[in-house]
Amino acid sequence: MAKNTHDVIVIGAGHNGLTAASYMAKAGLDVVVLEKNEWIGGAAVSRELYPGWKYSNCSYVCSLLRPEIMRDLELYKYGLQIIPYEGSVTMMRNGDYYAHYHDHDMTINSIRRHSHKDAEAYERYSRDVLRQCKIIKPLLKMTPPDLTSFKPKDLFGALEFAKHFAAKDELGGLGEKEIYDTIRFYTMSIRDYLDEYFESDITKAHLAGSAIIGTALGPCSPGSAYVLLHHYMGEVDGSVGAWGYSRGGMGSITKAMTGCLNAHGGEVKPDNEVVNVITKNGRAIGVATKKGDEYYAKKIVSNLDVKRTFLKITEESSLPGEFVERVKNFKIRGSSGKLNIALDGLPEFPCIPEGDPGGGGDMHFTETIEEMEGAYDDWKRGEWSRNPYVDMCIPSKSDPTMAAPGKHYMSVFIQYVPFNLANGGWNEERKQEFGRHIVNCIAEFSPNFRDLINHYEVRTPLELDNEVGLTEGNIFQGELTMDQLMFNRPVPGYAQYRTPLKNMYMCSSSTHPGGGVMGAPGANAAREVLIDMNIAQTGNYY
Amino acid sequence: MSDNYDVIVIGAGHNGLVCANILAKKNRKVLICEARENCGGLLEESITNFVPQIPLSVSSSLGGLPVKYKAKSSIALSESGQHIRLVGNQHIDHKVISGFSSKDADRYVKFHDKMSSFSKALGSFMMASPPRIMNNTFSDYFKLFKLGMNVRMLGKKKFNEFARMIGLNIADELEDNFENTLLQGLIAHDAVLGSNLGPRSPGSLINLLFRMATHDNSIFGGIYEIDGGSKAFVDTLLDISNKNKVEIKTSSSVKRCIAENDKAVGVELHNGEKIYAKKIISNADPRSTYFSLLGTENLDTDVKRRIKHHRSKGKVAKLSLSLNKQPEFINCDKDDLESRMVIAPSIDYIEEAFNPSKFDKLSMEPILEMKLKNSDQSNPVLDIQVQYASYGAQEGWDNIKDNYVDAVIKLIVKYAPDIQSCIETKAIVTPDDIEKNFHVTGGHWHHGEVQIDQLFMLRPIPGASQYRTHLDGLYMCGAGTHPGGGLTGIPGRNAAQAILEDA
Repeated sequence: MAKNTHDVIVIGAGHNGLTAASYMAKAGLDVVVLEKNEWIGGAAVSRELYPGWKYSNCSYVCSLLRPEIMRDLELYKYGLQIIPYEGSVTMMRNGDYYAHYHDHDMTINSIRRHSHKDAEAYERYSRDVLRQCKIIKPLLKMTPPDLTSFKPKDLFGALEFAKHFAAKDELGGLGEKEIYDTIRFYTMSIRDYLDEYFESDITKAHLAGSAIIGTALGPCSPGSAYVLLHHYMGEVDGSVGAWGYSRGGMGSITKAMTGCLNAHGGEVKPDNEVVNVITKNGRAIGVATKKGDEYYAKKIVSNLDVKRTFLKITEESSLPGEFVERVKNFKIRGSSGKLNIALDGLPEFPCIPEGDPGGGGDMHFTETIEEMEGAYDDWKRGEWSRNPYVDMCIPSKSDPTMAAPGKHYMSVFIQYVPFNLANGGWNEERKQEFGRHIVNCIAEFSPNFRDLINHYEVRTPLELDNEVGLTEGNIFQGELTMDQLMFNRPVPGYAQYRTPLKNMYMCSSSTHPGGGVMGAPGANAAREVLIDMNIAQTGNYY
Repeated sequence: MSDNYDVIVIGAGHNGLVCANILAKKNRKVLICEARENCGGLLEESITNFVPQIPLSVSSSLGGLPVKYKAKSSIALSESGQHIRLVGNQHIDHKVISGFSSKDADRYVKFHDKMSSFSKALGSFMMASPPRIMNNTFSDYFKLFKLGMNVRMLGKKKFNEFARMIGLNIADELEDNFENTLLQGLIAHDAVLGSNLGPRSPGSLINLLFRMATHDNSIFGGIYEIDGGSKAFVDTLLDISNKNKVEIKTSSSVKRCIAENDKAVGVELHNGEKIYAKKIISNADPRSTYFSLLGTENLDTDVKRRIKHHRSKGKVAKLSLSLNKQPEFINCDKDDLESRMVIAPSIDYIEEAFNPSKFDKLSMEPILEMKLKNSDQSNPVLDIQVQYASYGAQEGWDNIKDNYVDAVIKLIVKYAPDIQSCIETKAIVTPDDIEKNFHVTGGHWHHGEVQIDQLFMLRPIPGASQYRTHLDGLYMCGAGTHPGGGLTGIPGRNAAQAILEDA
């Protein structure tokens, strides 16, 4: 049995674990990251599952990754390149299409084809949503204050938090009216929110997609408007709300992070599954791996979701009962599936005019909010959506490294797919049936699509759970609802990345500000660890 | 121009009556203009069977309110006859639930305690008009501070729990606590009653807390029936009005509010008559108040937009079945029939009933709250609240009414096999009918959804949350204002206070 001692052990080499590790290694600590899989990256990976094609087989587009982190960790130096895409499109059954573009004026013109009123309203809409993005951005890199504490740190923290809503900023400050608008935005359903701006179904359906991706909410569920914000607050090259591909697939992000970590003396050890956190007198002192090795460190940081961390690898007896209860009740529901498809050529989508930049980004075919809500109703019953919301894209169109010349890789994200399938659960047969169902849905809009398929990989929430370690396959490691955001995330009273166990921390997407390939939870957690160790920090996250 | 009255109240619903009388007691000369022939608004035709007790602070500001209440228990009906009967007494309820699951029984007591303490904390600010933020008045900041302290005083653990609960859905909380689906269904029913939410919609939990805050802070304890029916209640209010010399003009529909120099100075009736007063108070719902009384020409676009998107689609229809004899409900005795009988057997059932209603369609398996009236007479009436009967149903109420009524009866047959043979006549009042007959936009019980974005300082719309509208001298006192509907009289009382403050 090998004994290893380090300053810090990070459990899980997902993007948040690697971010936290890199920040701590940069601050001079001896960091080791233990990863259960043979590959590195968690849900931000590029894998060649079929010869000749690279799949971003979990997360597939990039926007949320905080630019401060890219700069602090010099990710560009370690090979990260983001290729922004030009637009997005919803295909319609009547042969028409609805597109949004990177260019605001082009979008307005495009919307005008469907509704003049909506085109006008879009100006107001994009202004209002952008405003909300600006308000939330500074909060992403803050540790949520403990509202019940009277410690100066928390009192100031609460003030600071409130200040972002109440105080003046470069845009002239939030007035009373805007504070009310902010409260409403955080609590409304996306359907009600969009109804206040738009009249046409297609505009609303296209925009509402961002509010449901990855969540167990429908467009009519109060709180879904916030999820939209969660998908909008990212940026590519300073362009807020833009999305892009990571060149070489999403794995390039975690590869660059690993590069940074290694350059600062840290190390990732794949194929080392942590099965137990070793505690002594209420402190975490190390971890034991499946292979039988033990690692000891001053600080343990878990990048596993809060359920896995405290219900699987930590002894329940070492934790307060109420905390365990809360963790058990933490809502983390699988609602999405994915198809990764190797294509022999570019599929034709006759709805989209040739050369339209809208086709370069994400493509959908849900035309009304009602359809979308119907898809959610299926999920509530434990079925996959008969008429799902699909977010598909072909990264190889702008990134030649994903497939051989002339060949293409297509990523199809599907909302909604239950983790607990009714009537007996998932098995291989039903998984394949689900895959065929999605292929049929897409083939409705693309006559040559089926013939081009060389291979496809079907991923249900079950695969995401087993393979990547996301409980129930929830891509955010916990629902993004009001009861699980900010100082409630993951558990009220433990929103500051610390846990009931001394020397043990959380850095996963289960913590503030939540999921998406953002890195903010990792960076925030690293800051808290370093504060507790009295180590001076530099960079944007201090 | 001379002021004939100090105050004109538009609409003689219970909140209008409460408001008028409080002002009259303060020596204001008050006139109420009511569009219908009778007073009492939605109370008049007893749209609701079960009510909370009027809070003490409201009745005392009226100088006492001699209304008698009868406490009622709630029964969750089960097809198997294994009904759950809850009376609101923790010991008894614990025993009842133990019969189903001892784990649930213990959890129920805990859950009840937790919810009660939260609803108490909420209740303390239902009695005051909501503060406005950044209004820069000391009293508003103090109110906010007090509210924060009220919640903070619950203790650290409870504060955390409260913060978590605000946005939570009731289904999650119930599934975390209980294993009996019938019990889950019963509580979930109360959380979504009268609203546009399903049990899995975030925010349904705060809906329940709001309801509890007006119902003795108890989940099933605060259900009452007015002795003599709601007519007795209206008569009492009219007696008081008489004593306080409040003038009431019935069949006097107000066409618009007369404004001079950006100030409300009187009302014009549909028959052309103009009556002047120093203050005008509208008991109408917010949309009617703004669009019909105040008129759009006086509003800026922002306010117009907010009012236009104020959500107030009613979801509850009332079905009355006149019977020729007392029906046999499986495993129910006479007392049970006079209690509140609920058909909402599980969370999933409610959610399925809710699903079509999101897009104004009707579920043929709705959830029901029933009560047998005149049970000792030869012609009893089964009064049924049918939830998720959407306002403006896509199918068209005129086309589907009969089928819908049949579907509801078919549903009741499962619990009372002989009901068909007892029925003499059936009458349904849909939200569309409520809108038409009672002049309530959308036919909504609460004059507007009780959801976080339409609550407290956002109720009915930001900027008009302190009972004052965007026109000087025009006030609101209906259920559309804080703290919302239910037979509480609190909006009426709070509005009266706002007016007295301004005088």
